[in-house]
Amino acid sequence: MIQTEGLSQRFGSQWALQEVSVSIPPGAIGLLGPNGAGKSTLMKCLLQLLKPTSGKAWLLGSDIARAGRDIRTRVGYAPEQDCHIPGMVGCEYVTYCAQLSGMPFQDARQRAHEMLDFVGMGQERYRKVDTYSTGMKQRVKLAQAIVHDPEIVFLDEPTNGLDPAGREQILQLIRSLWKDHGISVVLSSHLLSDVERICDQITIIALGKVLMQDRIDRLKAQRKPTAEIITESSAETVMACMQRSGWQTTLLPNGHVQVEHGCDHLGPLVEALDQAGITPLEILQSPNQLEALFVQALETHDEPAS
Amino acid sequence: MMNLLPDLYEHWKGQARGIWHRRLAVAAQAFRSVWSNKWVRHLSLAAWVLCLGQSAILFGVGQLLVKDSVIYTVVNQMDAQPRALVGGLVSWILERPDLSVSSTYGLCFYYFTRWFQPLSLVLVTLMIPSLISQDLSSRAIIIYRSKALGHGDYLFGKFMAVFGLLGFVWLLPIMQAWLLGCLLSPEWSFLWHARLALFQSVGFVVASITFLSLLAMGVSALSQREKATTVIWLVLWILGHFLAKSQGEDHPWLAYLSFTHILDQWAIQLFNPSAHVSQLMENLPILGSFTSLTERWMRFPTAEGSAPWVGAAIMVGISLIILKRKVKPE
Repeated sequence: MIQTEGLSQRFGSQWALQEVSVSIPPGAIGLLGPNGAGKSTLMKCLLQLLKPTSGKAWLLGSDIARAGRDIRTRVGYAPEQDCHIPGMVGCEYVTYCAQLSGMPFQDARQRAHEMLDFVGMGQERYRKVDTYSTGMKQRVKLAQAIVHDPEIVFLDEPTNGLDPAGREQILQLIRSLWKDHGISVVLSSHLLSDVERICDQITIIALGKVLMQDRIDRLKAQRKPTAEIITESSAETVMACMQRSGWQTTLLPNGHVQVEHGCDHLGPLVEALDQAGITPLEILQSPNQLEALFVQALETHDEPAS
Repeated sequence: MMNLLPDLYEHWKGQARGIWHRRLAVAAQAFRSVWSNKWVRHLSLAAWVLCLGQSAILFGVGQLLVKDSVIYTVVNQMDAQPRALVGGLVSWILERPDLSVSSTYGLCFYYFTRWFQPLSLVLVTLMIPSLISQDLSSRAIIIYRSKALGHGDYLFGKFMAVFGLLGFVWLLPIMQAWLLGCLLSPEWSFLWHARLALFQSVGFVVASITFLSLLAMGVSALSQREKATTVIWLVLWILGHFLAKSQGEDHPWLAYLSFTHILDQWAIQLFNPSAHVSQLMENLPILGSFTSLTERWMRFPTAEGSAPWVGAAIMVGISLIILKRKVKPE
């Protein structure tokens, strides 16, 4: 669905993308990376909003440099920034966006209302977009991105500025696009939890380079679950006990012992501690495997550079 | 509480329209945006009232040939000099309608087309902020470019909107004035004899509104701040006009910084009003006795060859460069 070969983008002396070569199949794809990693730049290059400095890219099987305009009839995009046509009310705006994608006016108008219903916009659709709250703007951006029934939709930080309830609703909607309607979603976010909830694939980007790209379940399987043990006993005693069970341990700077146990649950670990007569004060399951993967990817990337 | 109805999503099964449909959608939206300004609507109305006034003048010229018309009667009650002039004109029209109608209409339409020029320039001033500047400030460019539109398609849509509106207040009224003038004339042959005036008018107005549309788009793309683009346009217009008038003789190249001077030159070259006046003087010797009239109204600037066209090409070139460099997503 998305393929790039040595895709690079330079702004002055800064490389926003460096030799990015990926091949991403259809699905719900999370573009994960810290701020300024190059996620938005990658999206913009694929949509031809930016002309890549070098490299090639194919979207939906077509070369973007040759068939960019035609490809965009099959692609939706919700940018991160506030973008709207001045003076238009919500339903006019979405109708106009549908027309710009080639829909006849009658179909565009009907479809605009359907999509505004889909994203949960009520009577607000008859108000000018300029007056919308952040949440409404995010919804209308999503509506304009899918109004022409694209095969793939790029969403750049779609939950930015939303309250928890609004965020939950938008995430559900985005999730349903791929799960229920077969529209591939490329979601750019720096929020790991958003990506983990919606996506089945992940592409980690940092400093303009793709560090990791695979299915989330496969990546998670590669990383053994870990736990942090907090106890009154000495760290050495705990580490020796864990090592006897064949688990790798690390002494963290805060004095806690990190154990790479690799089990689905904490039962075996508790049992091993119990047998050694150690009473833990607290055992913290590794907070988020995706986060650990993300940190690991960033660290691996930093090492050769330093 | 907003409701969530994910099941409402259905795939669209219709047939997408082609690129011209999308370009027209851009043009229609830009036109609506400009038309929402009440002053634009008032000026458009003024243009059509002006067109009716011009039709009335042409109707009056035609009525001179009708012996029992009110105008003929009024003219015959005037002083000897104007009576002689009108009498000469009528005789000439009857004797050589091809030459006389062509020259009279040619001269009339040289002035008529120019009457719409300031009105159109004011209209462009009102249009400039909502053309491209607004799209830059609201980042609408990102939306346009993420849809199935290229850079050129977006600009072409905007161009069609400006061209369409200027055509509505300049080209259509002038064509309407010509048509009404001919239809209200006493002879159907006026339609044929006055054809050159129509071609000259259409040629001049189409060239002018194309030129002004491209310039307006370039200026509108110069800044995200709408007021700034209006000020730039006014400065170009007023300062250019002032430079052309005050410094044009000493430094002729300065005159080509003024688009109004360029339009003046195009009008002189396309209508060639001096030829029409010579024609009139030759056939109506009595015109010579109206020295004040001929000196004031019938003294035309000298045509400056290809220089105005080169000046216009440079201005349009600069405008296109601005459009290429400035109209892009951030």
